[in-house]
Amino acid sequence: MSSRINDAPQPLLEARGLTKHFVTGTALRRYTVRAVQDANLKLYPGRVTALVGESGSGKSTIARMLVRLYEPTSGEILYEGRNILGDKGRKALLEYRSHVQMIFQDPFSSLNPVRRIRAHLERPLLIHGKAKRGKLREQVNELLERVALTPVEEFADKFPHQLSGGQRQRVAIARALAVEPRVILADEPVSMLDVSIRLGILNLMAKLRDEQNIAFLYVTHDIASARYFADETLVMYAGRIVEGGESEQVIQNPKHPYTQLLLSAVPNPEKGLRTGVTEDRGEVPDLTQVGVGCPFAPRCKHVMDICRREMPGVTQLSANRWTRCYLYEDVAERETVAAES
Amino acid sequence: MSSIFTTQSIQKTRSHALDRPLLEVRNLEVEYWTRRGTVRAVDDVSFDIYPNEVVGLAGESGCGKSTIAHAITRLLKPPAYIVGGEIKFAGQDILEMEEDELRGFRWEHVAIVLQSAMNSLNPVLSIREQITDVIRTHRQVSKKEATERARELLQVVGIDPNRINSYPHQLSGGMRQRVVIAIALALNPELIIMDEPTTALDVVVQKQIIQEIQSLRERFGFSILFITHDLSLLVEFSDRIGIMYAGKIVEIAPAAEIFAAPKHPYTERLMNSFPTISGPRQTLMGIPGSPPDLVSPPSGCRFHPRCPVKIEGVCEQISPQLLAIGPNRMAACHLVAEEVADEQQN
Repeated sequence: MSSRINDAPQPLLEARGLTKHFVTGTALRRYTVRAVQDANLKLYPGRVTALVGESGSGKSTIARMLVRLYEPTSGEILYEGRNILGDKGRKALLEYRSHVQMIFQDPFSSLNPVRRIRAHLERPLLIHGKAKRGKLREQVNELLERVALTPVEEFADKFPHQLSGGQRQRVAIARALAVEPRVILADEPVSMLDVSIRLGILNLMAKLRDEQNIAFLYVTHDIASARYFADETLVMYAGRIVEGGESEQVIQNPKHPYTQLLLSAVPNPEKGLRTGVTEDRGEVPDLTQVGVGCPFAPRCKHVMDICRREMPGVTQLSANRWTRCYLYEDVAERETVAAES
Repeated sequence: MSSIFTTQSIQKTRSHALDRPLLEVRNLEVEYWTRRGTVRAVDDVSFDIYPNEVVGLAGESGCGKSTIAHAITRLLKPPAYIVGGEIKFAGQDILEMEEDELRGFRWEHVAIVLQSAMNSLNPVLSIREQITDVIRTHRQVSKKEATERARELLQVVGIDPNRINSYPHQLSGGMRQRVVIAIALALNPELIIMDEPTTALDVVVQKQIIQEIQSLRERFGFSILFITHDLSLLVEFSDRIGIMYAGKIVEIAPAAEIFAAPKHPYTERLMNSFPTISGPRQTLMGIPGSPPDLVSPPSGCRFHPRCPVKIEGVCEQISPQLLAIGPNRMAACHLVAEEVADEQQN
């Protein structure tokens, strides 16, 4: 799994400086919620990038911007190197979504209860002009086959309420696959499912990555599942992506103090209860209040004056590994100086 | 200030012997009488909880674990009915209690913390009012004394007592859940039932709260029935664990033993359904198929349609009994029973 990061030269989908501010409140008292600030990420064919963070960290907002459900406040979204944010209108959106599809968390509300499974899969084929004359039935069957809902004819004639959560999420995946996308953005695709069937869905998506070379963004709060499924992991805190790199490296050797805190809190029967975060009493900051500095500064045990004044830039720790934290800035500088001299 | 409200005196005199179970559940059967038919959500479930013990119940949604929590506190509402079995608390049969006896029993002896509890706080009452309500309903004390006790409880669960006049919306989810735990502790119960107490919370907050509960337990010595679908958390936190599938306990054993060597095929596969943050990165299989619809449960062993090691001609016909397979350890599986019998012969 690990070598895949180096093999992919051209990102399929890229976010540059992606920022989203929501303005809420009343006419007299406006609040700006800084949901996402300066997010950068690249998705490559045949590779899964996980975006890990707790609720409210902005991870779903990034996915929704990438699929063009939310208009970014600033920043760029590049598909095959071209900024697509300028493309307006239904036709352009349809064209974009034939390449970039999304799978949502809730398989119970994302399917229409009065339509059979067949109708759910025919619809994208027809809308996107992928339906072949007289072959529609076969195409639907083939999609169901790909997500292992067999016998296919039987499943095609069912209604959503006749399926289990895992089976519904398979339908949602089949529906996304109908347009033959190159990128799938999966927003917490397994967190509402029973534990025994989560793996089946993750394994199915891993198969699609490997066999169809699909680029995945895997949005999750469960860092253990990111380790299982994702080649690369990005960690988000209060609207900022604070660390990124090959999943195994990030998880075994976290650098950013927030990533360290997060990992120490994940239940781990091998280590037991008494290790970890006893002294941390902090809470995620109010996103209407986050200022110019690092959002983790109020909770960080290594906090320095500069952390409150300015968000640290990206420190490249190794070829595929980076963080945004002043603790590592001079380390990197020293190493650069050492390399130059 | 009244002496019963100082921190030291939170300790109730515990008269119950430590080597006798505090809670005994025997052959409990709970049914939901629905339009689609009768669902036996809890089927012949037996287990004990000893003083100062944490017993965990794990299983997937619909396996009956929450129904057990509600049965113990007699909070089940129609269409759910307890149709058989016994639940004894310190020797007293809970199922025989009248409504007014129950009012004295809940909170006083057994408290319950639910997953959605943090959203069950009354939004128009301050934290102070909600905690003192519980105290003043059960104890003859003045408002001032009750408030003093409420401040003490907030301190105990790690909330600044000066926030006592806050309203629920002014607190984060984690703090609201701490308030609910404070209310559960208010009358110093012997048993606290926690049904997914941290599931709605972020993992860092979950860890803070679990550690808080752990240290409170060490201080006050109550028992916990801890219910969650998160096996990793359960193994970390519990002394003993019962694994439930489709309304039945299929395995019950000390947490460390279940973690090291699960015996029931369902337990084993369930363990193998959790990616971890340490150890080898291997392909995990999960469990093929889905949990059964309990309107028409599978014949024989309810796990047999999903079981990769089922014995043809046996498992689909005969429901396995929960049998001792070692000291302090039980499992309900024909294959395990056979293995144990073989070992005993050799």
